[in-house]
Amino acid sequence: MIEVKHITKSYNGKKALDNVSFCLGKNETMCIIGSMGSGKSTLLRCIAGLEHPEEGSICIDGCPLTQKNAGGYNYIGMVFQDFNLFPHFNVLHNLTLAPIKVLGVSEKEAEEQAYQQLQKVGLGEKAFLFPNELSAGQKQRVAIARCLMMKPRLMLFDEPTSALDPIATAEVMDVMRKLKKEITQVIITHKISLVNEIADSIIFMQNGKVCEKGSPADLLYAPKQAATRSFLSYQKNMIYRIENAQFDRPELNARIECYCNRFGLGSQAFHFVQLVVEEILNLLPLDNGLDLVLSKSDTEVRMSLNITLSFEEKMYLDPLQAKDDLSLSLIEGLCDVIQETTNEDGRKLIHLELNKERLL
Amino acid sequence: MIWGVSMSWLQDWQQQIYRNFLSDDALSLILSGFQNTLVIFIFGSIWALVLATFLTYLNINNKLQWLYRPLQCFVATIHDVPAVVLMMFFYYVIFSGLLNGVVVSIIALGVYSSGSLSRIFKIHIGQVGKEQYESGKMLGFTSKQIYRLIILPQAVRNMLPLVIGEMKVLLRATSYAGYIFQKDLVKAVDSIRAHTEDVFLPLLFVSLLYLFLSSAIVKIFKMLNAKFFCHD
Repeated sequence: MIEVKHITKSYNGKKALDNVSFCLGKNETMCIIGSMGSGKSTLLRCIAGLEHPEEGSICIDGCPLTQKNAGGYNYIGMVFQDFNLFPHFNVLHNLTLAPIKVLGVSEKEAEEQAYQQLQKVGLGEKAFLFPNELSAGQKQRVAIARCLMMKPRLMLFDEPTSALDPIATAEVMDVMRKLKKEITQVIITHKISLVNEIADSIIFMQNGKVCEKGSPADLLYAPKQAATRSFLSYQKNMIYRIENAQFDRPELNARIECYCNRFGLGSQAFHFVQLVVEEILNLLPLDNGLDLVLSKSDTEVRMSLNITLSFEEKMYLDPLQAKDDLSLSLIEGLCDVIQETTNEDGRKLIHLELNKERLL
Repeated sequence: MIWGVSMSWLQDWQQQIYRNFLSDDALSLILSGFQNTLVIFIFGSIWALVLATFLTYLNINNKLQWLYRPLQCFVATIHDVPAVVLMMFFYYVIFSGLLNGVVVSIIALGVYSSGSLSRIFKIHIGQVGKEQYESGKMLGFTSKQIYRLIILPQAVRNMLPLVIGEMKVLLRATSYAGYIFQKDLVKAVDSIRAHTEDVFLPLLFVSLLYLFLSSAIVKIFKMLNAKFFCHD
């Protein structure tokens, strides 16, 4: 269906894509993951024909996508991060404009198709609303329906859920799930749960190159490359380095809040996690630096906090040695598991498992 | 007593109105002045809009920058010159005697307004954003269709208040036409003032007429926007 061969693209002499190649079969779904600036969006824009690679070729159904035919309609639909609906048209007009003007479909036929597509994305009653009257999730679903109106052979999604709250994300993911097996999809996302659920194959990109590719089972659960492992770990966990006692507390709190939001945990859970972090930091020496890793289980409501300190022999969570009894008793009340160990290289490890009921 | 005073005041006003506006000479002066002012304004606006559209087209077209830059430089420079000086310069220096005052006023005012109008056009087209262009392109529209159906309707709606403002500036600038020929509205009213020695009524009349024209501009531009650019 789509074959990308050795494409290279530079901006101001810096390579955004460096010899990228992959193949994708008909009605398959491929997810592209990677950190910011790794070249994911440039790759998608090259496939869409919005950017022109300096080297290499892109073939869709055996036809090369050259600069010349990239200007016309190539039966490629693209869903953007910011929806890009036409704000001066209502939903129905957003959907019917291109089929009428580009494909030459009659107005009546286009409207019938538009209603069908709107039903498909669950927005049958919103046909006469304007984009500014819709929620973010509804806007993105309209954007998907607008692409589907053009009967694309390939759909490209550029971080379709990154501007959405958890509810809107779930709405859009539901639509994307329905499209799987109906249409070939290439999706850029940071949402590992979406990748896990929807992808037939995954590409991990770094510095404009394809670092690793494979099935979800291989790439998500047994990544071969260290860079992939590190990226996935960063996606799953919140990692924060505290250099000294004057560290940026508001930043740490913001990171905890973002992490809790990512899993749809409410404000109560956030305040609870924040309290545990605050109390444990009260008990530890911060001047020598420590690493704080917050991780949540994918399958159940379980969150753990792992703290690694440099070489320290003291037992910080021992009632006899703890510097603050109140903090210690609070932690004992807030956590189900408290472990304090020393690893092989002598670094102290503290492992806390937060009380499940308080996370709900 | 009061009735008598009122009647004499009313009769006085009737005479003043007749002397200033309805006597044969005054009426023909006002009508021809109003007609000239209206012609200068209408054709001056059309010329300014055409010139500004052309400049904007050159500006957004990367291949025509070599033509845009000197033209924009010229237009931007003359925009800093007072409109009346520009009109006199066009009339006495550039076209000295070749064209009549109405035509020169139209040309000068069009050039005067086109610089700022083209800046307004460019900024508002830019504000619509390349995302809209790209989403149109992904749906298979040609560049012309994208501009006509997607970008311009949004840009026009946003720029309308500023364009109306610029048109009002152009309307006010028509009053300078009297410096290069003697038959515009202000000059006509000034002649009547000199002849009748009444100051209040002629000036009130011309002020109200400009106010009326100003409101008409707002109405006309809003109607054009509703007819051509608001699809829903």
